[in-house]
Amino acid sequence: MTQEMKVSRSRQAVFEALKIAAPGTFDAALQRSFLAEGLDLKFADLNLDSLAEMEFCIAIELSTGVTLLPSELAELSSTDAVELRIRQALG
Amino acid sequence: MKSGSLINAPLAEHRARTARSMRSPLARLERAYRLYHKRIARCRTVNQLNQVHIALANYMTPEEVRFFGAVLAQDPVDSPSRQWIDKMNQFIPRESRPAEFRRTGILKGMTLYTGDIGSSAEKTLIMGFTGNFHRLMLPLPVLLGCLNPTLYDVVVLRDFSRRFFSKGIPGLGADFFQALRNLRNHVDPTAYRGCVALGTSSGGLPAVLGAILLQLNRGVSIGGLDFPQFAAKLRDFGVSDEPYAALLASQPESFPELLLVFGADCATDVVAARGLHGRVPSRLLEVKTCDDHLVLVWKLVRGRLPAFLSTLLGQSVETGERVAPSHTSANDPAD
Repeated sequence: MTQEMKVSRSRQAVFEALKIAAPGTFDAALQRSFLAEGLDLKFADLNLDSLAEMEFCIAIELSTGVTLLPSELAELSSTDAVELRIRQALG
Repeated sequence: MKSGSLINAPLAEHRARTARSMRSPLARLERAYRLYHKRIARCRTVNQLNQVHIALANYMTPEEVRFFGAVLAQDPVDSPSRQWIDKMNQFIPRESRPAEFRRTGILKGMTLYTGDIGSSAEKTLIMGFTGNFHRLMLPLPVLLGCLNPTLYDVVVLRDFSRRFFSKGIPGLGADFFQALRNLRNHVDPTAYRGCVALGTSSGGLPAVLGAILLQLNRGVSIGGLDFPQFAAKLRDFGVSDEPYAALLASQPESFPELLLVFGADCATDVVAARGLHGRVPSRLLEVKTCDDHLVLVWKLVRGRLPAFLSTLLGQSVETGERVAPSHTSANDPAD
């Protein structure tokens, strides 16, 4: 797998997971900024409750096989950090 | 082997014995727990375990939660299973009722909860339009725990396509209108003393529309969208919003009481509820000092959920007696 494909896959995984965990987050403009322009979203701004955090981590694990714990999200703090974590785990 | 009868006879006997034993509530609860135990034994990660727990909390009954709690009390205090069930159990009434809610898994996207007591004519049917994560903002047993099964049945509708029910409900119909019309083949609202559609978040506006379409007594939207946002989303999904707009604008002879509920300090929900209030004859119910979209959770942690649900339903969750409406603003058809 090329580096470019890994980046794309991890960002797509984070995007899909956020659509599940925080369905109202993305309008067309934000979706474009996130996927095409690399916008970094802070979890503090997303207002995920504990259930949404669990759903986010479940979705990431299902799509990438990378286990990310809800308790790690506070430390990771943003979508870029999660994406980096996925890329590192995928090797 | 020449004939299957030698195999089939014991199998039939086994099935009959199982069916007989499953009529016993205890046998049913024990089987549910065995299935749970077997399922979590296969979980290899915290996320897999969370996935099982989240799904179960969307389907379990209060009776099952109490039973699981009693069994899991033998686990170490820090066991994830015990922590999960204890958290839910703290909001379930400790005492069992003379009749408990039982789950009737009719279809994938539709589950009926009914107690083996009383007739439909004495009961009110609550039609739940779930929002995110197939929930009515709360684990289902917590909500059911507030209701007296003698007086209420609950049918939970789940939006598996996450398209505001516009893609219908598997087994009922491929769109919102078809699914709701076919619903009466499984649960007939007209057989009940009354019927209330109650929806949360993305299920809020579908509950309002469902109440109008089926001419129910009442429709309640909690933290729901206003119509323009809903219509825009439908168009994004490739679904025409026109029939929905026509339904919202319709004034059938038997028009439901509509209640739009929101946290007073939750800006997005305030705007949405007030917007919808301007489009349809309805009442606003503002929950003062609530800054949470999850209004039902906010009420739960303050110990006020049963009283609040009684207000939403217009009748006591325990006795069925009428509860005076509480509202900040009315927009009645005559206005």
